[in-house]
Amino acid sequence: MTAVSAVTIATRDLLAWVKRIGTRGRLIAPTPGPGGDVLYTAVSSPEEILWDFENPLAPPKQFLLPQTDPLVHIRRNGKGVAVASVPWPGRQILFNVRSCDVKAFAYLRKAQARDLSDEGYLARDDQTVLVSLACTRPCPLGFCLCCDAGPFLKDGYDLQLTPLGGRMLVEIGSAKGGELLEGGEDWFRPAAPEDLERRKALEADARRHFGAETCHFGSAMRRVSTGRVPAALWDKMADWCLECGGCTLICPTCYCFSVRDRAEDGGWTRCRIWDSCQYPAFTLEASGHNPREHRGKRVQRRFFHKVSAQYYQRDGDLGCVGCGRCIKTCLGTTDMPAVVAAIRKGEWHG
Amino acid sequence: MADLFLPRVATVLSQRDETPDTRTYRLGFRDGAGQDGFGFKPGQFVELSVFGIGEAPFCLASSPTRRDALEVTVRRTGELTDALHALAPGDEVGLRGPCGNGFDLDAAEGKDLLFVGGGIGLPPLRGLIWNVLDQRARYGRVTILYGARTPTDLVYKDELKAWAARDDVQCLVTVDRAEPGWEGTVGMVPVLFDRTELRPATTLVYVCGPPVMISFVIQDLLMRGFGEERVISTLERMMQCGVGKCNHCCIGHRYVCRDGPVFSYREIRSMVE
Amino acid sequence: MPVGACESVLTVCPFCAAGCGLYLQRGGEVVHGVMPSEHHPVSLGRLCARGWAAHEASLWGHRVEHPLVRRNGSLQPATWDAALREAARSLRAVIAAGRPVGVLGSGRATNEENFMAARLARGALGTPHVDACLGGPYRGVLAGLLAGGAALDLKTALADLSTADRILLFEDDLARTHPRVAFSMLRAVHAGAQLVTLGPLRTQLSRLAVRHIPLLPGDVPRLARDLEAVGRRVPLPEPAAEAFRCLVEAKRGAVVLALSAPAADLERLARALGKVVGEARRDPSTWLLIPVPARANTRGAVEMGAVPALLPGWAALDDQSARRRLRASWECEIVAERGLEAEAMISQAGGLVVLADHPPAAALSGTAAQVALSELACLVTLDAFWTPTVAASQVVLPIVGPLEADGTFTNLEGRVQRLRGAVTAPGEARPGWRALDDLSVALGLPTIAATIGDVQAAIAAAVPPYAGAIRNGGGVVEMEDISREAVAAPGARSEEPPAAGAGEPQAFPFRLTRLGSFEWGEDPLVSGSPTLRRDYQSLKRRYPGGLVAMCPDDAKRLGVREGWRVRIVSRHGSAVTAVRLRGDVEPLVLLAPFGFRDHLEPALGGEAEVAARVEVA
Repeated sequence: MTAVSAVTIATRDLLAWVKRIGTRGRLIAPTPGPGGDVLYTAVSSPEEILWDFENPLAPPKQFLLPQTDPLVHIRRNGKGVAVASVPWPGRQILFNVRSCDVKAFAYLRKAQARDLSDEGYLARDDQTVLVSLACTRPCPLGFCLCCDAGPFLKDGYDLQLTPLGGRMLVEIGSAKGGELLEGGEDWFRPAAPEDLERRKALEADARRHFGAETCHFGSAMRRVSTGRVPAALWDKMADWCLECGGCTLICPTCYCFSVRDRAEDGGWTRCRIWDSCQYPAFTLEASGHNPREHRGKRVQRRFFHKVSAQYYQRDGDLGCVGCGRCIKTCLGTTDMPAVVAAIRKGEWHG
Repeated sequence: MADLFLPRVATVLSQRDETPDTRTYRLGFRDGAGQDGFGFKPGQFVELSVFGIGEAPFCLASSPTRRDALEVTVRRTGELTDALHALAPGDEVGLRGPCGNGFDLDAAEGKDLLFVGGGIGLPPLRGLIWNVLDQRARYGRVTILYGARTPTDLVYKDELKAWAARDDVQCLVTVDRAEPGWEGTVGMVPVLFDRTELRPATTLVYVCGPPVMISFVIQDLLMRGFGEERVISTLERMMQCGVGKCNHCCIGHRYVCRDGPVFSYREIRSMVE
Repeated sequence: MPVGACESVLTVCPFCAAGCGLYLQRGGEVVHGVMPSEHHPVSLGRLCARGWAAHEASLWGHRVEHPLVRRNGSLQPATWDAALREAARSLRAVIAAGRPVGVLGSGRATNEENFMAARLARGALGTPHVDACLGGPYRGVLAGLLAGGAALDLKTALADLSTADRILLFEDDLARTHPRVAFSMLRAVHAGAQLVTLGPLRTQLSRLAVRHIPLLPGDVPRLARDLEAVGRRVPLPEPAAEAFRCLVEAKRGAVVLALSAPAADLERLARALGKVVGEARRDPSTWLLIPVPARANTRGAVEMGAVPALLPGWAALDDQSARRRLRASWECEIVAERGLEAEAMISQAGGLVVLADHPPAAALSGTAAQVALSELACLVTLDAFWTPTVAASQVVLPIVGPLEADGTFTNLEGRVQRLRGAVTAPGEARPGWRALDDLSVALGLPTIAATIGDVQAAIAAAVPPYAGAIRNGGGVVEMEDISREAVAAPGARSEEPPAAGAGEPQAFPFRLTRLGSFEWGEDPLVSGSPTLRRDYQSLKRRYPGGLVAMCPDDAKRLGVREGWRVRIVSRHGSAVTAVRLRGDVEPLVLLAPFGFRDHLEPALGGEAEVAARVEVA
């Protein structure tokens, strides 16, 4: 990181800059929601944006992969059936996302781009700008350190913000990010050496303060990849899972879906809707045969996709960014750190 | 956005009943150029939409050597196939594809080919069989062994007779249970192994059928000396997108809709969940 | 449909009685997703599979959008005025002919809707026949606990379960029926609590228990009788002894009741448990008694008066001050007699008004109930979703659905929670409380519901314990003074059935049992959801002739295999159906899952359990 690719902006100028950004696309940022939760919402006034917050439970992946995602319009016209792709609304800036979620977006992009590329998704991703707010304080349940997904990032962001006290460091990670600074020359000055030193110190400090929640993937990956986790252990863990699907739906790197046609406007709209490998019917065939009828096999499937060497080699990344959401949302006791520990030790608490 | 999910519109050209619950559809694209441009390999499948009901994967039962229409053979098993069976010539459907890897015809050149089908497993093989027969000189001996529960359940009844009548093909048929008028073999498919000359060293075997049938046929073949890499089958899984994104059809990190549905038995055995 | 989430609206899950808070994610005029609420005291950042799909039925299901009136045999669109007039006319005609009319509230409907349904019944129609499906067993369990002498705290929170060291769980399969409550069990066991499960299945929770006691419907009266002997200083037979030990040895014990059985038997069991708890003479705060109602607002429906044996607020029918409050609140005279319960109503009424429910899904015989409904001269339904009950109606009134409704639900903890509508309902749908007020007006009552605030003020006046919660937009109901006399309305007697196979053990060695009391797969919130309906739909398709479940060992002994057709024979009759093998079924037990009970009706004969034998068909 050189001085040229990092600038600072005084904290008092932040809102004005954000206001300007808001004219460049839909601005989505964490705001205080009803019920005491922090939620990513489309903001109309920058004053709503939170700068000191714990990562919202709802992952920002829903802004690139909505839970109900219209893809194709199918309509009858005089000549028969006409099909057309659903246009994407356009540019959006995801503001104050956390390092783990930025890494997750990189993972998702790779997954959609590989093999048969989902050009539509890539176009959405191209039109999305990620402004990341580095974590100077670890969140209570996060273990991004174990996934190389935080608390600060080396790359993957379009802009990475670090609060230095009185001013914000802005690291430019891409041309898309740099564009957001255009026209704001009054506000920005190149980062001084002491700014970069402070950023380094903040990162080191944050890393030091990570709590007990750790997740050692190494040996777990070996066992999962070679089928050496006994079925009895999966079955035992499965008894502590209530197959809510929350872990996969809340996970910023999960993207399983089903395809359904919804009747509307005298025709149909083909939609991609979130689905979960944790549901029994996910693999239920028309004949009634279900290769993953037992919950143990479904739990096994989840962790194979997230933690196996085969997927790691295929995707170039671990299927986990250590955001800790699955710990919060699990309707049982089968979150990522708990299961990885069980795989490593060959035993489960239950 | 959705090139991967955007179906092309095709028309039902005609249909033909194979059995009381199975029907073959001939489909054509609206534009002829679309028809010619739709290159595919036998063993590949399409995602067929009945608009307003949904989409499901169906293997192409026709050969790429015969481009006037695409054919799929569909058994009624649920909401979508019920709706499909209610369609008539002129009705429009959606088509995405071709999906999957298909059979490797290059690897089959010069080899003896053995086709072993059970029940509704013949359609995926049929495309390959016609492809081979349309380029007969490229291949060695061609043997077709097929069985169904009863004579009524046999699909492609006329073609089975036509294949049997050819002298460059051996086609043997059996049924688990006879019906009045059946004069052919009675017994499960493996009984046909003893009625033909098997040459494990030079033969590629293609096996398709219900999972239980595939399982014991493959074991039988292995015991008769066929190598694991020479036994080729198709795997089925619940599918949604057909293009390797939705993750429904995964076995380990393999996607039946992309790395398959055609796999050798050696590949199937090595799959880790 | 616009893309992406822009706004989050906090509301309550419409499925089970746990009442998890969730956000509806709205983009434009469409709700396209949900998110759990981290700070909500019930959901705590979690949702079950149904909660995660709570938006789907409103998007994908078949909605009722316009008023409909049956003319010449088929339902035709009509104006609201015409439909209301026809409903009033038709109901009046039934009354004039001397036939009973009834009103069914619903656990799927809000407190405001149920309150107005009770007013429609006891006020506008002058009928005492008002109930809500599945409300009866809940009322019965409460009545039993109180009658037995337990000090019942109707505000027990799920969080309190984490302090229990012993938990006695009576369940069908809590992990499937009420996952959020099962989560509390998991957490308690993980923290060291000892769990004892009782029920007809070897469930997921039973595997985490220190002891599982098989308990079929036929065993419930016997267990109750044995527990009643406590205090007489005789040794208790098992399994009553085990249950008793669990209850008295606990430092802080919990009894969770989520079992299906005939209502009278459940009441008797609850009374026996109440007696044990009461006689242990411990500080009431050391006891957690948690009856688990089936649906999101089953408790609210009962507390709002959709119950034949009580007035709103658990008030006795002859409670004069309750009657006064109600007359003032409803602005009309009321009929404060005891009416028919839901099952009886369906078969005996000449006219019915059904609010947001499909009664055959909870009836003992689904087919019989559907036939009875379609033969009614006057069936008026108010619903957001198309069901076979809607299809059989003479008049259909479209009301808003759970994503569009403002109102309140009362969860199993007594927490009154606000629903917030996120989008407008399709077509001409109206809020249910308004539609019921309109119908009451058409029957001659004054309107009391210009706004939802009016309805809520009326509730506060009629049910003082609700006043604070309703006024503050939510809160825990302070139901302190429920008298046991009020709640313990005598119902059917609980008879001890003959012992299984008694008299003819060889003839009928099996116990044929109906499992559960409600089939979620038949509910429009599930059948309208592409994600949730798959399992049940697949089962229905694969077993078109129904199914009966048995354990693999029994199948082997009988020489039958999965999918084979068998004849189930009992003293009532016989039924032919298919075998399904399940490892969680006890030996010598034949289970008819609730959704498949109708196929076994000739053998079940309306009972929850009957001795039977299996013949290969």
